[in-house]
Amino acid sequence: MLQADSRLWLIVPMCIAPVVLLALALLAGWAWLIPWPLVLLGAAYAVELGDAAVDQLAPVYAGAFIGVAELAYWSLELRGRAQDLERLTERRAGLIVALAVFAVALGGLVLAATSLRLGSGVALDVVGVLAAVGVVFAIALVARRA
Amino acid sequence: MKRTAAPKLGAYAGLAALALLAALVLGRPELVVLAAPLALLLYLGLAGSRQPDFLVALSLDRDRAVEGDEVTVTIDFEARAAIERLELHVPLKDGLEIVDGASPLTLHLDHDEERTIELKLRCTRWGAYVIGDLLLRAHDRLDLFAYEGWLDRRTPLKVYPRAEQLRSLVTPLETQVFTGNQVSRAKGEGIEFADLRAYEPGDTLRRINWRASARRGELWVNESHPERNTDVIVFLDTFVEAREEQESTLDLAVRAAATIADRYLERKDRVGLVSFGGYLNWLLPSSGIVQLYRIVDSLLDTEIILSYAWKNVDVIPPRTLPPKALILAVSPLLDERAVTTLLDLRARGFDLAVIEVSPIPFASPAKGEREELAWRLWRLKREALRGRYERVGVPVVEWREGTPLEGALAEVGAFRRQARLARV
Repeated sequence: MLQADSRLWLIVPMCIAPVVLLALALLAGWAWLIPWPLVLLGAAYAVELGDAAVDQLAPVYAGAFIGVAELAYWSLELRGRAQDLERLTERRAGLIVALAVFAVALGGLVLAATSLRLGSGVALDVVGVLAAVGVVFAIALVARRA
Repeated sequence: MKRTAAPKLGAYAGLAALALLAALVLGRPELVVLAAPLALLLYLGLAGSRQPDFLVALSLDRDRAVEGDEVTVTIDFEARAAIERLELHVPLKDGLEIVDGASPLTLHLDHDEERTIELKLRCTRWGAYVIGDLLLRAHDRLDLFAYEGWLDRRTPLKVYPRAEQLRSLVTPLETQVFTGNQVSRAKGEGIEFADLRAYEPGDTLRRINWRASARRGELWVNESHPERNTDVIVFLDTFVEAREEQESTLDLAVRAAATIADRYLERKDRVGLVSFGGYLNWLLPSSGIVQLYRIVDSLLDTEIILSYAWKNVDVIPPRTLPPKALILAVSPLLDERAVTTLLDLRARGFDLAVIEVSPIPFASPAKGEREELAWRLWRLKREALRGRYERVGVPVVEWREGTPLEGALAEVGAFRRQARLARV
């Protein structure tokens, strides 16, 4: 188990690196680089959680997480000229806010679901794995059909 | 329209999968909280993905313009379903520039919304253009997919060369037999007085010069010059051009050729065209407004086609060059094939004048002693070439952008007067 000080040494670079990477991606206009700061942010969050109790602020982080991602992609799209820029800006900003609120709400539901006492065991872990695989499979299936 | 995935589709899918995997490995539900919105967003985006449904029409306010004119392109959109973000690009060739409006352009269309986009274009160069290959890219609401495609709404636009100021023209040495505005050197029925001669049986009474007859004691009649037309061949050299940025010798040459053709056709002369270059293009001499359009339309298609094949006067169809025709060659005198052909035409007895579209403004001397020497030698060589033409009685007049074409043509007349005096 990592101690608080040693975790700090790990978390601080993991928080600075996404900022630098995101700035680089936006300056250079590299859309392919945008997921990597988010991966690092998620990893930093996972390290910060350690063995602590369930973080009740996780839905807020989820909202911020999706907000950062959407804003980053949006800023790359703003490089062209728009005829009705105000209208487009309003709609996009509204969408991002809605997505962030939606993420907070959904995160709250997920978190509430985790607090349900369903017991534990290998069978439940298998169900969890199957659920995760099922989510990815469902997305892949819909992508293929679409 | 072809559907392409936005970069964030793959990114969100990867992030969601990674977060779910990490949640399982580390046993942290917080990571599921991070992944869930991403996964649901992907699901909603994929399930709600639809081809954009809209109509597009393109029109021009006119299909013919002159260099320097402005043309308005109107693009009408009618969305049958809402389009979150529609990107429009109207590719334009060199010679057309946007003065009002923008391309590429992004807009949003609501359900059943009709929108009109106007682009004001300035025609900076003559040519035959086709406007209306539209590149459209529509994004869905969550911006996970883009539908991209070219729409063919092509509409032709002809941009005619700007006319140069020209009031007087080169007088041909010989005229044809048809009636026109050119006073012939021959004597016959006409208005312009030519000479007096003794009365001969068959002469009409109204031609008797009573004053001269009274003085001489016998009947004398007036002779006059008939008004005839001429055959003019505009010989355009399209082997090579000297170019600098947007302007070239070919642009000037086409402008001069169109102006000359227009003015001679106004005088009821017959005008033909020989575009002599990588490929040969010709129009038989004819008169009238239809011929003018034929010539100008033919000039719009003129371009430099690189060719190493040797060409001379033999490749020109004989009917294109009628006897006694005045040949006005418009050339930068850069290609040996054109230079030789023009000398050959003179040797065959054609009345020839060369308007040299000077390549000198398009070339600047490089710095350095050798380069300066090369520059001077090149200019001397051009001077020698002019001398070669003048020795065979062909006037070569230099014409540059910004100087009146009329001045250049006046020089042809001056050369001919000088040459006549020298012959006397």
